[in-house]
Amino acid sequence: MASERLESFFLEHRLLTEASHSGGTLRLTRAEREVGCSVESSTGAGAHHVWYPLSPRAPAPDALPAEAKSALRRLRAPEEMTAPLLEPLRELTLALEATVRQAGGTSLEALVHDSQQRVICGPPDAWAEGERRHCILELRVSVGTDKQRPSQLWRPFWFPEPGALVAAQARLRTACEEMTRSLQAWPALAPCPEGDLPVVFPPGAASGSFFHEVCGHPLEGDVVARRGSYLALRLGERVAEEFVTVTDDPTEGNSSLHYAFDDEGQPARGTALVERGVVGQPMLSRATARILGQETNGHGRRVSFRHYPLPRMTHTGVAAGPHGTLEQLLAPVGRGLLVQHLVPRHMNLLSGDFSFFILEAREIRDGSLGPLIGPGVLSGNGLQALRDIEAVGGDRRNLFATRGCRKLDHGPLAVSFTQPSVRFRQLRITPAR
Amino acid sequence: MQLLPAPHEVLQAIAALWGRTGRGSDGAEVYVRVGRSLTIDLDPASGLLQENLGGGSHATVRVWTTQGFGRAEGWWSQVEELEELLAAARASASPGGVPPVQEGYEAIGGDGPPAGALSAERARARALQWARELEPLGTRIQALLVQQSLGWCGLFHSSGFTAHDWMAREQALVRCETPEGALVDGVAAPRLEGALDPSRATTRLSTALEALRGERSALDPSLPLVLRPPVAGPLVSGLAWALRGDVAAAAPALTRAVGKKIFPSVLSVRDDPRHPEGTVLRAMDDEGRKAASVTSIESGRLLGFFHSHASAARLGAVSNGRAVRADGGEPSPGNFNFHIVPGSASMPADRTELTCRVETFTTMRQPGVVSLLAAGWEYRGGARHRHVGPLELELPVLATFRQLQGVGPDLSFLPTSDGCGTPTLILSPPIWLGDSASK
Repeated sequence: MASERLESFFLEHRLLTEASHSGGTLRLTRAEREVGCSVESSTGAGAHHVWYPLSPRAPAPDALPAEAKSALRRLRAPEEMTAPLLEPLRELTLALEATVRQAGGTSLEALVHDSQQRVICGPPDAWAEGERRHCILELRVSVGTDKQRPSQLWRPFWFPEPGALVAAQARLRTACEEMTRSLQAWPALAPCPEGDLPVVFPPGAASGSFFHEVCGHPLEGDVVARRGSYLALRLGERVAEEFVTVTDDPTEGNSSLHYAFDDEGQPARGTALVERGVVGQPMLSRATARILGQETNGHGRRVSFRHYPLPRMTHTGVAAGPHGTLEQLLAPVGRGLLVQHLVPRHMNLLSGDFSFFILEAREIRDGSLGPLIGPGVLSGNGLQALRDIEAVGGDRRNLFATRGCRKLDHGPLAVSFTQPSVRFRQLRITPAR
Repeated sequence: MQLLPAPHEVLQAIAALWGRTGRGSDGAEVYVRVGRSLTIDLDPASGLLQENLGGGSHATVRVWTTQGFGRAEGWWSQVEELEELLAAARASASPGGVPPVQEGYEAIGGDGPPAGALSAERARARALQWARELEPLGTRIQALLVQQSLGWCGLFHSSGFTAHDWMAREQALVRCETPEGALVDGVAAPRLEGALDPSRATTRLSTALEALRGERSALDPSLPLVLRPPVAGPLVSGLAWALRGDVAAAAPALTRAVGKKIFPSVLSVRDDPRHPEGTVLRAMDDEGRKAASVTSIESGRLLGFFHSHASAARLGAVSNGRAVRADGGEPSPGNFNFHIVPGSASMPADRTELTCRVETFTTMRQPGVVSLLAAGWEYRGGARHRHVGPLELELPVLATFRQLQGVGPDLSFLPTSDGCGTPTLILSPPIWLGDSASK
C-alpha cells in the first residue's frame, strides 16, 4: 500500500431487507447483512482507499486507530440491527389488498424496503458515529384488464422504520381507496398530446427527478471540477426567476434522506444549487473540494464500504415559493399537463438538453384536471426550462426515490426529492411509441 | 493485505465441514467467490488519482432438506463461519426449490491461477496512457477508469462434486461529454498481462465525434440501415437477453420456434467462453457445469436458449453451462462472450450508416425494445452525402433482426454492451424505427 498517512476511515454495518406482496401473499425477497470498512491514505498523486469485508470473526484491520477498533466491536454486533418482523407487514398488505378489492380494484402489488445502516467514519482524530434508517412502501394498484383502461397507479410512501409503516394502516387504506377510485374515474387513457405545452409538477411527486437530473448532477463537484456541465460553466449567473431556489440539503430530516455527517465524516451542509435564480455552489467531497480549492460541504457519499466517496446528491429539490397551492397554479392553464411521474431518459450535461419518459400524467383543461394520458416523452433544454419556471407554490412535500441514483459504476445510492407545485410556461411533449 | 485462500485450501476446509456437520438429508452446496479488485479513477485535468483496492471471500450456501430449500450468504474468513452459514441455511429451509443435479457434470479445476497480478503501478500507467491518447480528440473527459480483478469461484457439493474456475480481467472505460451528449467507450480483456490498447476505443470515439458535428437531418427510411458496432451493441445485448432461458420461458411463441428458421440466413449467434477477442474467459458456469461454446442461432435457425439448471428444467431442457450468479444471488441464465458471428457482407452504396451512440440512462426501458440515440451519415453512391441525426430509435429486438440483410467482418466485443460482441449489421428497408425524426 502506497500510503503516506491515514486520512480517513469508514466503518459500516448495513442490513437491507425487502419483501414483496403479490398474488395475495408477502414473501421475503432480500435480506443482506454486511459489515466492512475502508481506510483512506493520501499519496502524492491523490487518495488511496483499501476496503475489507468483515466477516463475524475477522479481526479489525491494523490500519484502524485503537479507538475505531473499539467502536467497531459494538458496530458489528448483529443484535444491534435486526430484520423487521414479516407477520405484521403481511397482515398490513393483506388488509390493503382487501381495501383495493372492496373499492372495485383488481389487485395490489406492494414492495417493502427497509434499509438500516450504522456508520463510524471520518479522520482519525475527529470521527463521527451515527445511524441511518428508512423504510419505503411502494404500492401499485390495478383496475380492470382492458388494455384501453388506465390500469395501474403507483405511489411510494416513506416511514422512519417498519413499525411506523404498520401503524399507518388507516392512512394507507385511504390512499389505496383513492388510487382505486382515481383509476375508475377515467375509463380510458387519453392520447398523449404533442407540442410545447404548459406543464405543472404537483407537490411531492416523482416528477421531482427532474431537478435531480437537470440541476443536481450538473453541479456535482467532480463534474464542476472538469467544467463538464452547462451549469458548471455558469456559476454565479442568473438562470431563473428570483423565486426559484433549488437545493440539496442532507440535514432537513422531514420524511427525507438525511444525515448529520457524510460518508467522509464531514458535517453535512445544505447547498444552494440555484439560489434565487442564480447558479450557486457545487456539492463537494474532500477530493473534489481539494481540486477546486474549497472546503468540503459534506456531500461525499459512498454506495458501500467497497466504493470510494464521490460528490453525490442526498435530498434535492425546489424550495417553497410564493405562488400558493396546486389549485392556484393550475387555474390559469387552459391546456397543459400535470406530470406526476418521470423517469430520466437522456441528459446532456454540457448542453443541458434533457428528455424524460412520462409514466403518469393528466390533462389540464381550463384549470381543472382531466383524464390520465398515455405514455409520452417530456424534453427540452435545462437553461430554457429553468427560465420558463413561471410559478412555484408554497406546498412543498418530500419524496423518496425508490430506485436510487447511479453514477459511474457506483450505485444505486438512496436519494430523496423535495418539491412544491411548479409550473413551467412550456415544455415539449411527445407521445411515446 | 491478508492472502486470500486458494481453491485446494477451501476444498480441504469444506471436506472437513461435511465431515463434522453431515451432508444433509438431500444435499448441500457451498458456492465461494474469492477475489480482489483495483480501480484507478483519473481526473485528467488535475492528474489526481483515486485508487480503490479491496476484496475477500464470499460464500453462498444452499441446502435441500426434508423441510425444503434454505439459503444463507455472507463474507467469511474462517471455516467456522462457513459452518455458521450452513447452519443458517438449514434453519431457513422452507418448501420449494429444485435441487441441482451434478450427475454427468464434469469436475473442473485443473487450471492454476492466470498469469499476472493486480498492479496499481500498471493501472496508473494505463490510465495516464489513455488520457494522453484521448487528448487529441479535444473532448471533455468526465470519467476515466482502469479496473483490474483477479479471483476464482468454486462450487463444493455435499455429493463430493467440486469445480473451480479462475478469472482475471482488466478494462479501461472512458466517458466524454460533448455538446450533443455523452459518449462512453472502453476496452476489456480477460487477462492481467499484455497491452490494453486504447486505439480501438479512440478510433470509435473519433468516428463518433465526427458524426456528431454538423447539421442535423432526418433519416431516409427507404435506405438500408447500417449499424456500426458501437450502435449495434445494445441491440445485440437485447438479443442476448431475449435468448436467456428464463426470458424465453415467458415467450411461448419463441420456445415453440426452436428448430425453425425464423431469422435471415446471415444471422448466426454464438456464445464462446474462450473466444480470443472476448472480455471473459470461463471454464465453467456458476453452477459448476462446463462452459463450452454454444450456438443459439445457426444460419437463421433457432437452436435453443442459454440455460441455468432451473431455467432448463422449466423448459424440459438440460443446462448448457450458462448459469451466472450476480452478487452472490441465485443462479440465472447469462452469457460468456455472446456475439453475432461475423460475415462478409459488402456495404450498400446507398445507405444510412450510424456510427455514434449517445449515452442514455437505459437502452431497454421496455422489455424487448431497444432505445437508442444515434448519429451518422447518409451515403449516396458510396460517398458521404450528409449528416444524419442525432435521432431516436426504438427497435423491437426480434423484429429488427428479422430484417438483417448482412453482417460485416469487423467483430468487436464491447464492455459497454454487457460484453457482447458484434460486427457491423446491415438492415434492409423499409425499417420501422419508432421516431425516425431528428432529435
